[in-house]
Amino acid sequence: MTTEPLLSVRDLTVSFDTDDGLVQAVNGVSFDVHPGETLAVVGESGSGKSVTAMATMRLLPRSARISGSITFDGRDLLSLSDREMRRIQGEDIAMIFQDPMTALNPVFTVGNQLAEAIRIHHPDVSKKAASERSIELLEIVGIPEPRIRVENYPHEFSGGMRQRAMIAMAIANQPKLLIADEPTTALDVTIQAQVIEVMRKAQEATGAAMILITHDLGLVAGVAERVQVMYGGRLFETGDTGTIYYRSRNPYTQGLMRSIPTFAKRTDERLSPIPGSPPSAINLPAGCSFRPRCEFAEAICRDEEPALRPLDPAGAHQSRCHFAEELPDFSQRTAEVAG
Amino acid sequence: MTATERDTLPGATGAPPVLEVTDLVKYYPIRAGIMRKQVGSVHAVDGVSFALGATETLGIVGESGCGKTTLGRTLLRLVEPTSGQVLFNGEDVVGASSSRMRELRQDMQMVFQDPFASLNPRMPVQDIISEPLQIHGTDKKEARIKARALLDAVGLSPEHGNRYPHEFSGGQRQRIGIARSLAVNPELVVLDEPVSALDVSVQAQVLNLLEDLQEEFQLSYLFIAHDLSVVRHISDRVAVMYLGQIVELADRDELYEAPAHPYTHSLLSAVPVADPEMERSRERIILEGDLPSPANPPTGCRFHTRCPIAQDNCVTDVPPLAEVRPGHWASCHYALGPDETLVQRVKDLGREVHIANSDTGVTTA
Ligand SMILES: Nc1ncnc2c1ncn2[C@@H]1O[C@H](COP(=O)(O)OP(=O)(O)OP(=O)(O)O)[C@@H](O)[C@H]1O
Ligand SMILES: Nc1ncnc2c1ncn2[C@@H]1O[C@H](COP(=O)(O)OP(=O)(O)OP(=O)(O)O)[C@@H](O)[C@H]1O
Ligand code: SF4
Ligand SMILES: [Mg+2]
Ligand SMILES: [Mg+2]
Repeated sequence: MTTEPLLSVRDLTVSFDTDDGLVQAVNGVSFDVHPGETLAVVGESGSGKSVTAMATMRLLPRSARISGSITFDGRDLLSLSDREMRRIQGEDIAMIFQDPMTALNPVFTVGNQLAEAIRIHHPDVSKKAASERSIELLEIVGIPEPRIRVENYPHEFSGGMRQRAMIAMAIANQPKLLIADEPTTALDVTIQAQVIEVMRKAQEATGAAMILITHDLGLVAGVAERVQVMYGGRLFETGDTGTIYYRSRNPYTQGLMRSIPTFAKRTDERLSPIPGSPPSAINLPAGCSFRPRCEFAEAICRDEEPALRPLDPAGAHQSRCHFAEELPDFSQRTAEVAG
Repeated sequence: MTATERDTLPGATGAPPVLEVTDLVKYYPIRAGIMRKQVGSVHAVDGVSFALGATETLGIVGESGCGKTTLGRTLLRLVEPTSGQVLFNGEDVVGASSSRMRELRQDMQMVFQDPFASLNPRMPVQDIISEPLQIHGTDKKEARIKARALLDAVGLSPEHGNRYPHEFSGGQRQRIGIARSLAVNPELVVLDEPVSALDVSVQAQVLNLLEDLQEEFQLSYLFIAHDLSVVRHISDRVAVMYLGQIVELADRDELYEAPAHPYTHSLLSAVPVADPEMERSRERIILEGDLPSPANPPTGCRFHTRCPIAQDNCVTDVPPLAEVRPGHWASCHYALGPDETLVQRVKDLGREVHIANSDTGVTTA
């Protein structure tokens, strides 16, 4: 890509001190996000997706040890003062959290919180204007009767409504980068389609980039330009959406794609998850961290950790596997739809 | 209730049901202003009836806010129903005393939608899981051993037992909730979005696990989820809810392949598929109008404000949830036939329907 990246993460490593030892949550992760693009981050539960996002927002607890660099719009986020960072949070970078209750305060009405989110960055906006804008935002994200609902407390909303309230809060200040961590987990398909449409429109209008963290591979298939696959705190594969779904060159990605329950198929057969358990973030296996579960593993996988290697001259498609080139072809085509 | 009445509950199969629900209603007050005066009520669950057989899985799907969680919570009386009847193995749950209710909860468990809010942040995970066991009389040491086995069963390592909820990822927390609910060997488990925060591989593991546990312990599941692929996989039967009511209930494959209710048709057309080319060329039926407020549900058929095939009487007459085909219930005056598509019916009526597709945008057919 020729544009300057909006966000550039280099060698990000995050660990936590716990009673049981050091938890290696993120392990040398590097990637770029360009203006206007949608990058999806998928992968194992516990693989460090949320921690990467929280590090970018500088929202990790003090127990986190962070190294590497995070450059946003030419500024090194990790060296900003707390005050400078607060100005960027919610104004230039906004986050939609996986767990809506962590972002919504139970003792204030939804409307109060939305108005506050606007006025904290724009103190010149009057209370009345901010409250009108809150109603408008609730309407944008598809809350029925926003004028009444704006007076509700978060616990009076359903799970999906809370998530939409949080999206409204995130887009309130038209950020340059939207980090959405499982933004549609609690939403049914019709509202999901609406909410994604809302986020895309907001993105189009402002040229914002989006990092979309999700387990929903159907959603990714529809909206992401690029996909990044994480496993055990590391990037395992990255490429264009079509490349990852149709021409994956990584055993973990392939296993993930095979686990998807298919909607159109009559399914009495059991699902085929990747065998075994995810690695412990405390004792990562030597060599390739996927080795204990990998059907292609050989001796070298135990001895040497594979690097994330480019598979084409431009480096658009990269995979972390000693045998990336030799793996059998794989394609996640929903065959039953054809037949 | 007589045997014949029982058999007429949607979902009844003739086998003795674990759960029989008749006309269940839950209204929440809406308060506004400084005085928090009641200005109306949210009709979260509004006349739901169904039966759930032993070792059966009934999937519940429907739009966000349609009342799925409220239904699950009212069944277990975690919130008090406004009216209606719930029988668990023939025993009246709504009228049960609070001490009897505590006993019943050992057999009726719930896995909560919001895993973080439902786990005590000050307790290590092994205590969270073993707590319900200890409440029901197991000694501490034995309870901890069982907790470790359960952690293993849901794909977490026993070393995780000493850690606190905030130290876990979203998907890990969800599995802790499942382990906790299974600790007391319940008979019925209400699973509220139990796999929504899991990656597809762990999700497949948990779904297989739920199926194994069901077989081993003869469990019945009420499985609430918005992911229609997951619901199709795990359920024997599926109920579709709209604005607090069940609008369709049928065997899994029948519901997905030959839906009768126009709402189910549009819902199924919106399911994303994990294939970029197909997903971008797929055609979705776009419903007109907003989701009506559950505080002020439409008259007649609640779906009439968005239904592309509605007629005049839909505005005034409430369609009953009726058996349109054997074992297949739907509440629509103009239910679609087994081989009929919604788009075709709309065209036959000489009307237009909006179809969306991410490559070509919205078109009219
Ligand atoms: N505050 C913390 N203290 C200790 N460990 C933590 C903390 N926060 C996260 N972790 C650990 O770091 C790892 C990465 O967690 P993260 O939340 O980034 O996972 P994730 O990829 O977002 O998973 P999910 O898909 O389940 O949300 C996990 O092993 C988790 O247990
Ligand atoms: N404690 C409460 N007080 C007032 N209203 C409530 C309360 N809990 C839920 N509601 C309302 O009841 C309706 C149904 O909510 P419920 O949580 O049952 O929906 P749901 O189908 O589970 O939705 P989702 O898929 O988003 O989780 C919503 O309109 C919601 O705002
Ligand atoms: S390096 Fe070896 S263990 Fe790792 S993914 Fe490749 S084949 Fe599997
Ligand atoms: Mg996460
Ligand atoms: Mg819910």
